[in-house]
Amino acid sequence: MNEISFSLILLFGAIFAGFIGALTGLGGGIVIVPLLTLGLGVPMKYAVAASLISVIGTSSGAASAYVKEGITNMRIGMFLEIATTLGAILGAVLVILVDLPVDIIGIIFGAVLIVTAVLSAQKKPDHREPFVPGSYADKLQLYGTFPHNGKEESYSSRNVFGGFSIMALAGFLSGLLGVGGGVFKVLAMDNIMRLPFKVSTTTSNFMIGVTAAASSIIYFAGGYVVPSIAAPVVIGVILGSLIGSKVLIHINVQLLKRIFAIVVGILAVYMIYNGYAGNFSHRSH
Amino acid sequence: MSQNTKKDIQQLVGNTLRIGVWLSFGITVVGLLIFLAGNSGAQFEPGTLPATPENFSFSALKNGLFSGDALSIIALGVLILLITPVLRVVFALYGYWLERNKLYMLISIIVLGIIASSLFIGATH
Repeated sequence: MNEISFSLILLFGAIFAGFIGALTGLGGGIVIVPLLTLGLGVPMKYAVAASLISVIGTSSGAASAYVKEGITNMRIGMFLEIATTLGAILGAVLVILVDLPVDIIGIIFGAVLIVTAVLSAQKKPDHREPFVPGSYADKLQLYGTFPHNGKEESYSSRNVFGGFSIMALAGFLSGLLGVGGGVFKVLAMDNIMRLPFKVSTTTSNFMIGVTAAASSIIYFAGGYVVPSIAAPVVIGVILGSLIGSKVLIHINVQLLKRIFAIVVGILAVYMIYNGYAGNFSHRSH
Repeated sequence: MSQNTKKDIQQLVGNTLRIGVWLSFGITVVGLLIFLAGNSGAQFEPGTLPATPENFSFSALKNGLFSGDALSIIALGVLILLITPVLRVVFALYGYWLERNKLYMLISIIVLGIIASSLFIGATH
């Protein structure tokens, strides 16, 4: 393919991915990897590497706004990053060092998309856990306050180790598949640690960048980040998410989430089918 | 730590993330434009990328940058984006040091250690 056409197709695909990612809060990674592998014939490892870089771009961009508002809990984020970075490294090691068959990665990708579609369609709980002296939440300082409806509300967390385990899984999937894994991070903080919805969403976004950095450094050091692939992806995803966040204020998010859940479902079936048919390994090596 | 210092750290972290993203964005755009201008007729076959590429090398990047190589400029942009969240952890560590929060100084150092280990893991493939 012509270099310029390749860059342009990828640029517009990445703008779309970033746009959709910002609107739905799911990030652009779940669109980038199928586009690169099945759409443009980029080998899986290179696609995952480029996608991870774009994940850092969108996460850091969005997180910068939330951190300033004081909703993000930096301590909870930092503590759980021990789990996500360890998981992310394990995921990247499976891809690069263990050489997990790329068709299996494609199938896992599809399965994760299905879980993502189901989880994101569910109604999010909004908890206020009371502070329990002597609990792990107390010892590890996993509590805080956040501005809500004009006043500071306090909260604490529960099931610290359950949350920690799901976070390790979220990091693992991020490093393995090149996605942000935000849905799993929110699951760990919302449903298991029972944090307030706004806190878990913003803290998750904050963590995605560090998690993706841990695994993408492995891909980068290993030479899997190809500049001519990474550049259109990074530029497109950042632009797309910027446009998405501006549009977000004016549209019906609920309807959009439903449409997106259907798109993700179709993409999931497509990825699983191609993995089963061995198309990821045929297209590359 | 006073409420003001906490706000300052949050501002610092927020600014780091934003500046890092836009700096990386700008450098990557410049690199891509130079690359496309110089390779307008070139072909790119993604399927021919090697199964096991060569490791990234800092000296190659440095030499590439000094000779104005477009792909090295893009690589620099990507590298800045990669370092941005790591810097964020470093600033958080500084914040915990100001707070004299030993537990979270330790936790930040563990996270930095894990990220640093990935640099070595990547180069061993």
